Amino acid sequence: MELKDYSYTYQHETALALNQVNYKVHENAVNFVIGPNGSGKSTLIDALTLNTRFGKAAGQVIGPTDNNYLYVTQYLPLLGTVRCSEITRFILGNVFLDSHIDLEFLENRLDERVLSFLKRVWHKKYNDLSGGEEKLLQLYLFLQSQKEFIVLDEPSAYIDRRNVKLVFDLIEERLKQQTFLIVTHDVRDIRLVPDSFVSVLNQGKIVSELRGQDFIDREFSQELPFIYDFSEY
Amino acid sequence: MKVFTNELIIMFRYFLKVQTTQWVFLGYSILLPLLMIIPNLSTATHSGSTAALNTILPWIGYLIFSNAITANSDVVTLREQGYLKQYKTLVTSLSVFTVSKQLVWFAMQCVEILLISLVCAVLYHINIVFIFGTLLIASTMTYFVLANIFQFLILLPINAKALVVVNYICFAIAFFLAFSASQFFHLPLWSNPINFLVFCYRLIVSPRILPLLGYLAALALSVVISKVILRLVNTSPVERG
Repeated sequence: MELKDYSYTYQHETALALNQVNYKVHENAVNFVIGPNGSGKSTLIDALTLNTRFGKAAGQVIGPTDNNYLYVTQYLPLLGTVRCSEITRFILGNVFLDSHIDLEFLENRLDERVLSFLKRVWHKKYNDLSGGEEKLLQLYLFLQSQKEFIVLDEPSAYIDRRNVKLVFDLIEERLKQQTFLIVTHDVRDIRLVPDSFVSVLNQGKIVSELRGQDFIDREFSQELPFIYDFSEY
Repeated sequence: MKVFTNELIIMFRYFLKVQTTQWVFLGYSILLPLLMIIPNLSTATHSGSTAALNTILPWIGYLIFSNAITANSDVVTLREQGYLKQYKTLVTSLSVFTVSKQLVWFAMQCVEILLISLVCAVLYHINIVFIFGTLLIASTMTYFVLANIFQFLILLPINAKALVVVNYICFAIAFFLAFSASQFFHLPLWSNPINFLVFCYRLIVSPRILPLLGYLAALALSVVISKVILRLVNTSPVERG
């Protein structure tokens, strides 16, 4: 998936949301996109997944084929009055294409950590979970998807750092089969994946591209003011 | 096809639960259209059962119009909230999602038809099985054609606020059509789109080959329209947010 000299202006706006961006998603890796609010992160995702509308676009896009990607928003509102088992059946039912999912079915199909979390919340109502647990449940379930390309919009929001680590462990274990594009505001996420590829976006331009480890090494060096700001505040 | 069916069952089950667990909304969705139809039923009691049915059929047509509009408005609402993008990628095709929404509102419609049939059976001493059976088949035939055509709503570049207005306009037009259809019987059937239900109803009560072919052509055309629309649909919200 790639953007070549890609520019995009929203309808009724004059400023470029993306300005001659050249961006390539590295396959079977974690690709972070980091940048301040309004820097064009969501537009970049929409452009890559061929979801832009009405605006003026220039350049070339090589998008996903045959809908073979999963887009996970920051937080998907789900029906609170049903039990987590129902939520699991809804999401994993579509992943495993089986409408009769129970814990026994999942026993050998899921990672031990995910399974133990599901066992703990299985009979609870979804709105009895805390905000963080709701988000964690969604992430654990959506991350079971077999799609080749996964887009995660701020996956670490609402979740405590211990659980963020577990989520990223899960992501790293899936890198042989899948590619991840992760939009984040939290530099601590990058520290968890030193092998990742990091792109810093500002005012519609990619101002820096580096590996995760380089990012970690230079985050307080003031060489790159954007990275310094993210790490400092 | 097996994948599509599996995904459809899962989506339908979940969204039906979403619809039915909100009791206030469920009551409102089912009872409001009924409250609009029942006065028409009671004013028609003085005439024979056939004439009375002719009077209420346009109002049932209105109900079907409303459900077909709402099924597609639900999709637009989710698009504007930014979640359609995610739902689309969870399944193999966007049609799984749109058809599941259509089925949810079809299920609601079946309950409405059952309640209307009960009222009709009591008021006109009609066999409940006959009235429910014929109305159910006629409404099914009508609903899926309309639900497919009303998918054009998903194509419209409207935000959540504009959607409310568009819905009101559509409901108002449907209401006017139902009102005029029930008042001006001398006008030909084709002069009013809400009479599509009347057309389907007559097709069941007294089947004839030519109208049947006409219906099948309308159904096929609606499927083609739906397929074209789903190819063109953009799942991103209109408003940047």
